[in-house]
Amino acid sequence: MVAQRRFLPLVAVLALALTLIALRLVQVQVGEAEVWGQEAANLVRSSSLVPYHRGRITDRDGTVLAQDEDRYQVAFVYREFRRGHPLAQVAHARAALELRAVPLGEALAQLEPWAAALVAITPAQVSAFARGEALELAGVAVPVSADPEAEQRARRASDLRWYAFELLHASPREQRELRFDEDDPRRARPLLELVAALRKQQPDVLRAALAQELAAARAGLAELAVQLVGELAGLELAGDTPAERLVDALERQRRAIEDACADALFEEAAGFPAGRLSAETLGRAFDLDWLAALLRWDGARLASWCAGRRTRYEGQLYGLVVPRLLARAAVEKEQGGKHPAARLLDGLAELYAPAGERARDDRPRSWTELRDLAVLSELDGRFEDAAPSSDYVAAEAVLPLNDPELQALAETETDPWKLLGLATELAGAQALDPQAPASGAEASARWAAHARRISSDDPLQRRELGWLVRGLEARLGAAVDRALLDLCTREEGETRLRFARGRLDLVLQQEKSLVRDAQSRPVLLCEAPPYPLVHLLASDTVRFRGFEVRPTTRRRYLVPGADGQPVGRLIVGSVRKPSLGELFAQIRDERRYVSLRYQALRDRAEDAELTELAGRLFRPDEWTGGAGAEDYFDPELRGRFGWHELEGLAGRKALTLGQPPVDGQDVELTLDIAIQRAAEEVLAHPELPDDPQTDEAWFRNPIGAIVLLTVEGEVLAAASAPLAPGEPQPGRGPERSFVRERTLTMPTFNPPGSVFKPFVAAFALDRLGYDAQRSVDCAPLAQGDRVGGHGDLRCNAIHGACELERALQVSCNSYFAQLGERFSDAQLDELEQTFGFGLPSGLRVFGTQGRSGLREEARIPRPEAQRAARESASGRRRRANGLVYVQANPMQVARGLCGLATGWLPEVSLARAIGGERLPPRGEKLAIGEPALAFVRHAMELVVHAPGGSGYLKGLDEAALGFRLAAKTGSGDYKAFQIDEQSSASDRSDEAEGRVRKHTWLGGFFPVERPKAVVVVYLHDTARTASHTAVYVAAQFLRREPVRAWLARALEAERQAGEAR
Amino acid sequence: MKERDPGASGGTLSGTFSPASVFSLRSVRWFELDWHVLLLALGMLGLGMLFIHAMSEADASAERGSDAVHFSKHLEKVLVAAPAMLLALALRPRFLRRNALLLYGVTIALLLLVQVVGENRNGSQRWIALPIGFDLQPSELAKVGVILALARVLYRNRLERAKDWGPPIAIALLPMGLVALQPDLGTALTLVPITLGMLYVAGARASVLVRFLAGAAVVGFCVWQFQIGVHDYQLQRIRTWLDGFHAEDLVAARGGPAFHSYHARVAIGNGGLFGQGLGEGVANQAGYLPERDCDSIFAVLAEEFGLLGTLGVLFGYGLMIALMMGSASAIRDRFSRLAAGGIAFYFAAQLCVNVSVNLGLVPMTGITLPLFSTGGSSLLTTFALLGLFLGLASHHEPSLDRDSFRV
Repeated sequence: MVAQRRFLPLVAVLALALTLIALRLVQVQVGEAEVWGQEAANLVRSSSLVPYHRGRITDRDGTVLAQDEDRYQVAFVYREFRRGHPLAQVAHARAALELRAVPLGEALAQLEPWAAALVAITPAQVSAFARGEALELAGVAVPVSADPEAEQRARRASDLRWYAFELLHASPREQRELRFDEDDPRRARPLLELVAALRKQQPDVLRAALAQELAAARAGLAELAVQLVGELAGLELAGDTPAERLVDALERQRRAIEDACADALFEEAAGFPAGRLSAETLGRAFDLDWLAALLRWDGARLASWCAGRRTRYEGQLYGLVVPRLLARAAVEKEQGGKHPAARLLDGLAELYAPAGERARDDRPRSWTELRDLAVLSELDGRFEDAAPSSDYVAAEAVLPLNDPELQALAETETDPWKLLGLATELAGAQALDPQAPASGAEASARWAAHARRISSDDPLQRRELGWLVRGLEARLGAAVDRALLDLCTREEGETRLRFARGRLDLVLQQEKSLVRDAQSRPVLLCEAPPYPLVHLLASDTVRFRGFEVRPTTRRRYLVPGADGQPVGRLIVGSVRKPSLGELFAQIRDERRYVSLRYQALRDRAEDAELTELAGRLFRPDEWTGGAGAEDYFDPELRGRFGWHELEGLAGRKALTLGQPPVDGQDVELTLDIAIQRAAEEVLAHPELPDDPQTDEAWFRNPIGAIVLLTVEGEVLAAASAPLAPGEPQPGRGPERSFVRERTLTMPTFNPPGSVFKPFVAAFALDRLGYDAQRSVDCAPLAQGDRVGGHGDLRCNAIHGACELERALQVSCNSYFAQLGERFSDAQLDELEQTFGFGLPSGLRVFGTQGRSGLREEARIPRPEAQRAARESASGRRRRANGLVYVQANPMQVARGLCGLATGWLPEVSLARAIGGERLPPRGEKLAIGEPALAFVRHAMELVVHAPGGSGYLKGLDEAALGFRLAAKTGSGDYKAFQIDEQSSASDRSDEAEGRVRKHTWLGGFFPVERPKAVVVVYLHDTARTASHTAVYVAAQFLRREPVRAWLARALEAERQAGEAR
Repeated sequence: MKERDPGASGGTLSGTFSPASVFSLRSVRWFELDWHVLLLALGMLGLGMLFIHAMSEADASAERGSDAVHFSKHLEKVLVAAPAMLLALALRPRFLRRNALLLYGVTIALLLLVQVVGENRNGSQRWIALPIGFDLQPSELAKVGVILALARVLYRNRLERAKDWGPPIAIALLPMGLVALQPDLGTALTLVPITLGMLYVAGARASVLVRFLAGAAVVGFCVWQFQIGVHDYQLQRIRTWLDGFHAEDLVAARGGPAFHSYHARVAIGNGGLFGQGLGEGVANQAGYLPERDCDSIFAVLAEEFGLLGTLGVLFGYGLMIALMMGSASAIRDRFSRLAAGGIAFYFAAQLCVNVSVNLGLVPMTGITLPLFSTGGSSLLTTFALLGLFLGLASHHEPSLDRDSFRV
């Protein structure tokens, strides 16, 4: 039949279409099943991190110095609060009724009557309200609606019903059973009575239960407020009682969350953030009734949102975006990428490019490609009636960044800082802030000054970039305001722009998830809640819905020391959150990590890569090493977060998956915390010695360091002062203001002075074949001089004829000046190297690659101009006296002394064991013969124990200490006094007598007969020599009981080891 | 000899109008009723209701409040719309033929009316509020009007001359234009395959229709390329659609305009071979998929039934349409044959467009899946058309139509 012939091809077309559909179905459901399965799992998976415990840090005896402590935080989740707390339920039901954001405070005042009215509503009233009819409830009369759809009556009615059921705890089944036909007479009965009837209860019983629950909710808020009173104290909150103040704080959170919802909804509709516009333009140019209706806002609330957008946007711009731009530029520079100025311009161009043209990865396009601008070129197609003309789209040269002339200049200009400066000038920054650079040249010069170290932490750089951004914002803002206000007034009179229906369709599609997302974000309410608060919230989660107790960890330093600081703070270090720079530096790795996580099929290498990345990448809220051992041993101390996941929503499946956290490894330090504390206490509060020649000013404001090493190189104590910033001493420089680790660093010019002489002597005896009996005359250089000297170097006294031993004992500069003349420059270099001067101490046991912390300054580069002076006879004289051309930190001096004391030059170690595994001792035999060393040791013993020795009768004798010490004092000239009106009389007198400020040292070992430890005391910026300063500090330290106790233990251990052998 | 047009003398509702002239169950040959089509359709309806019930249960458990799907409401709509099938079944083909243009006029009037009194939802003015449990969407009823009117004008028109094309095309374009104005471009475009199918069955040469389709494709391409007369959001949908062919791109755009497409694809892909089980899919668990009880119900079906189950449903649906085409081809009366064929094309077009939208084969647009989706107007139209089809295929009325004697 003809007709059948006509239908057959159509059946074939249908079959073909269905076959195509089936193939596509196979592709999606089989070929892409893993991808979509993973996405689906993510949609119903709520995962949370389980924090790991960072490894503990202990001292050599197992005393815990630092450890992670389990603690809790209290967070506020508004969505849970809205859905589960009677106060929020009543407030939101009221908002649904009145179409205004009813404040929680107002709802609290009327909690009982409003709740009673809400549950007294009848299904018939709800239906009538949904249809647009009038409704009167608890004093509010909602009039008949002319446009129920526009007023969202159906949705509001549904919300009213939902909140009423929630107040009554109606189960889904009960709710279903309470859906009646239109003509059912039960529709006229209040919901409370209907629910009571279903439960076969008297309404009064249910009413009483509700009243009890409301009272409990009130009481709960009051209890909570009392516990949170400390947290609320700093906030300017309304209310007379703590509960009212708490509710006001919650109301603020609610407003912030609603603002965030509105921000997201507006941006979805407009394509750009509301904060891009001025408050006036935002409120005047757009029809935002849809937004107000969605969020149940009245005009005043909408106006308040409009008024706050620009301020918030600017806060983020200058507080977050500008530092990020700088951090990204710094990372790019470190990674050898683009010039930081070009990277800053690229970042700015990204900020002003239309959303669709922004780069999806972390590398923005070049700023020279910027043509269209955000907002201006995004107006087309956004609105219902007004069709923007190309006038608004033509954004060329609105900003310097898309000015073709400046972009063309980029091709020829070799200094990108000049381009950045020119952009600042063209943006008109100075017109907005007189402090901004007036010209491009000035701006580029300022930037060039920062060029060495671009940093997001530098307030000056943030201010410089902020000026440019402010100029760009002003120019774009003016153009946008012009364009929008012109669009509004283009038609008859002034109209408000209505978003295109299609755009609003998209917004409505996503509204639920956007609002849910914003409301579900936890807000930290209390960082360190007291135990009663944690107990209160954890024991009654139903009554306190919305308030969550979350586990977290805190690093605690357990041994308190001087001035309230933890003992060993500067060497043990501290933790911090990752910096912006660190987070940006790992962006690429992070993307790789995410892509691997979502990759359906991974091979073994990719699995290993994923594991490695998971362990290495920082999380923004993770504690990481900030300084000292915490920083250096961070890879060992750091653990790996665990995670657990709940699959399914609202606990329907509650299938728990996950991995436990991996805690970090413990690090056992070599420190003896009692000795460390003793050293810090002595340094922080040294006793003023009974010596008229001492430097009182230093003892009042001590700055310095003490190192105590075992002769194997283990650090028993490494103390620095000051531990807290103080006021600089007049005429003595600013070091007193700086808290820093001083045993490993040389923040100032740092010669060891006469402490260097024993090393010179040992080297001369062993390598140069120097005759120790050789006598040298220390005589005045000129008649009438009160001190001796040699060449251009003065001594501290007139010593007459000296042999080497006496020269060491009395620290004769003339002798060592003449001895220095016997050395060649190469020999002096070799001398330094032999004892480890200028070389890393070995404390950074795993090297420096990829590790920071325990910063060590082994050698300060000297200006080239000093080289010639150093290699002269005068230079050699000074080097042999440990002056000017010799630099050392206390740790290096201590290590060298270990070599002198034992003939073994150890690598200094701060860690004894990691993860329970002992680190082997490291070092080498000193290339100096024992006779020379023995000679020097004996001479150092005389320094302390023989008359004339610079340490004689200074409290370092065996009777005072309990052991016999061999030592050498040293004073290295540092700087001239800076005499001013505030300078002390003593400083004036010293300055008048030609004295200069010094670093003073004492370096020694004990006990002489069987050296077990080496001590170095270093005092910064004293007016008097070591024999009037450093020796007293050393004596005060070495007299401390922990030192003696440790020595006794060490000797006992040695005795037992000997017996065992 | 000029053929007599049986519709010409009858006039509309004039002269012979009486209930018996409109409805007649006696002239229905019950043993010739397409029971297989009816059973398949009822099976689909039952399956759809099963899914809506599972959805409703899931929403109740998740306490979705005002966003929840309610099975009772769907059941209510089904019960309100179901009698339309019986009424349509009883309609006499002759009455339909004589009054097809009048019915068409009514639907056009409703389309005009909706512009005046219609409710604006989500930016579109498509609904007229009714007190019967659901609101009327005239664009859905327009499909019935177009099918009947086309059958009526093609009853004596075999499209042999160029001027023969004018009336049917005008009949199709008028409601398409009015629906597009609402704006509801998706619904407007579903009229295209129905019209083309009916034109072909009426005698149009395939080559002409292919040329027409090719021309439409060129126009569409130009509109896309030069962005003439299209809204920004429509272009955005096209871009989203093109991007959506790559899973990674769709995932990347999930927070923006691809929100709906993304969630539909996740649901379908998550179904795998055997499905997640009734009510257990991510679409129901998470509740993010927009319109999952209506335009996106296929995604829920695919997720919870899996590939095998979905192919089974598609096969059943396709079989029902093929059977409808087969039955239509056997009808001797040309008007009835064209109308029945148009109804089969309606089901085919809705099925193919709806499923293709969910699978990302065509850009996102809101089209229901008849017999599965909620939506009162869609249900009413579906029942009415199903009843009409069954009636047209089983009514026995003498016809002197030229085709009736061709073999």
